[in-house]
Amino acid sequence: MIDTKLYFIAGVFIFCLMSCKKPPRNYYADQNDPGLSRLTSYGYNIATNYINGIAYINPYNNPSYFGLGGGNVIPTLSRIIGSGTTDDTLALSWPVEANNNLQSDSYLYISILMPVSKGLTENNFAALSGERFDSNTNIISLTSYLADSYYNYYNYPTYSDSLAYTSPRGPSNIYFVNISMSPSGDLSMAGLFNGNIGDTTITNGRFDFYLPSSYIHF
Amino acid sequence: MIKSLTILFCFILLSFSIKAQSYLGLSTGIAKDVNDNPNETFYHIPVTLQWKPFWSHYNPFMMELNYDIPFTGSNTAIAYTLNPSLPASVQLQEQIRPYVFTASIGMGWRTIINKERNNILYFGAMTGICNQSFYVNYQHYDKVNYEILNPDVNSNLTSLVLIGEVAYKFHNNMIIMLRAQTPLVDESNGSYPLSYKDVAPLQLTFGYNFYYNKGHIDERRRKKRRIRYDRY
Repeated sequence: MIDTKLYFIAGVFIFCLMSCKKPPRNYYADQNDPGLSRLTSYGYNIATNYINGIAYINPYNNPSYFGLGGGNVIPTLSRIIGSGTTDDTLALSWPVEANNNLQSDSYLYISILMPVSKGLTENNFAALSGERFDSNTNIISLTSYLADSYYNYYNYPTYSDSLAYTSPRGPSNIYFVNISMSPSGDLSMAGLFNGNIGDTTITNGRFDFYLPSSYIHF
Repeated sequence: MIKSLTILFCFILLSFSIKAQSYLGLSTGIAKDVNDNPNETFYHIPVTLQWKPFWSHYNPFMMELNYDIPFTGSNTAIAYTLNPSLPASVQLQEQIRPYVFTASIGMGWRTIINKERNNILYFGAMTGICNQSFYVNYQHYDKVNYEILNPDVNSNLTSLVLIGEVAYKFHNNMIIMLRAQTPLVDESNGSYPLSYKDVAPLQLTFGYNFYYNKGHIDERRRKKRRIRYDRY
């Protein structure tokens, strides 16, 4: 009887192992921009850009046992409440790594910050679909975390809270090519971005995100 | 059921022309994709080369090479830019050219429609390997400033296909043929979605059959007749 149970458990275990399937990376190389993904709107949760000519991408987490979790790191979308009558700031943030094993990771995190009126709702945000914001209006800015902030980066409780960390910032352009919201409040967004922080230039940025409502903090 | 099918098969065989011959056929015409491509229908100029190497109608083996030269299909795409001095988005004309090459083997049967004029109807059922190469080009695309949303890319697909054809031989070995080819058995094109899918050409072609081994067959027939006459 015990042997039968053991065989059954072993069988289930083997079946579970065989049924494990890693979530896809969904990286499809852009033929015109080496190291970058194509501009897509399929909810692939992929973002790529050049930083001083080096291609960066959001990381991929390997799934845990039985294929649970894992996949491309999903960004956070947070609203930082401004003090008093100051406008709030919308922050779209994700970690990055060099998309080339030959390059070291000089930058760990990108945040796109955008001043928004108080009381912004998800519907207001979805209405930004098709809007292009340029850096001359100073509506948005780009933040990157330097390698020496590694300690701070991993000691913040959540990614969105890391925005409190003082980092180099500069003007940025952003274009929300497409934003759509599901009835359950999940957001899909695709767009372009670039910017510069002093001598550091961020170019050819493109993102294709699918954010479950739990990742949207407003 | 099997018995009925056997009888039907024998009936078809017996209805064949006694003038079985080897031939090489060359034809061309027009082809239309019937695989319900979502954004457009592809058209081709097909060139078909058929070879039936054995003269015996008891050996219906035949081979075929088919190459489809595409008319350029068109679609639209939208490209976006961050450059504030340029329009935020532009519409682009997308050109898609699917080249299709198929090498197939199978069986061909025939039946006489008009014995005096030697008009013959051929039926063919084949299976083959098909390669489809799609070339995508965006006209007037400013690659430096603009990014295309969900761009199509070139692709190359190879898989099995099934082919059915009906041909009519008339007036001095001229031939008119209707040929249908299935989509690729394995249509998978990777996981990246494209606006097009593989093509299934339906062809109407016109050409010429070059018969050979005719003398050999006639000699056999003459020998048979001689034997028959000698009996009487």
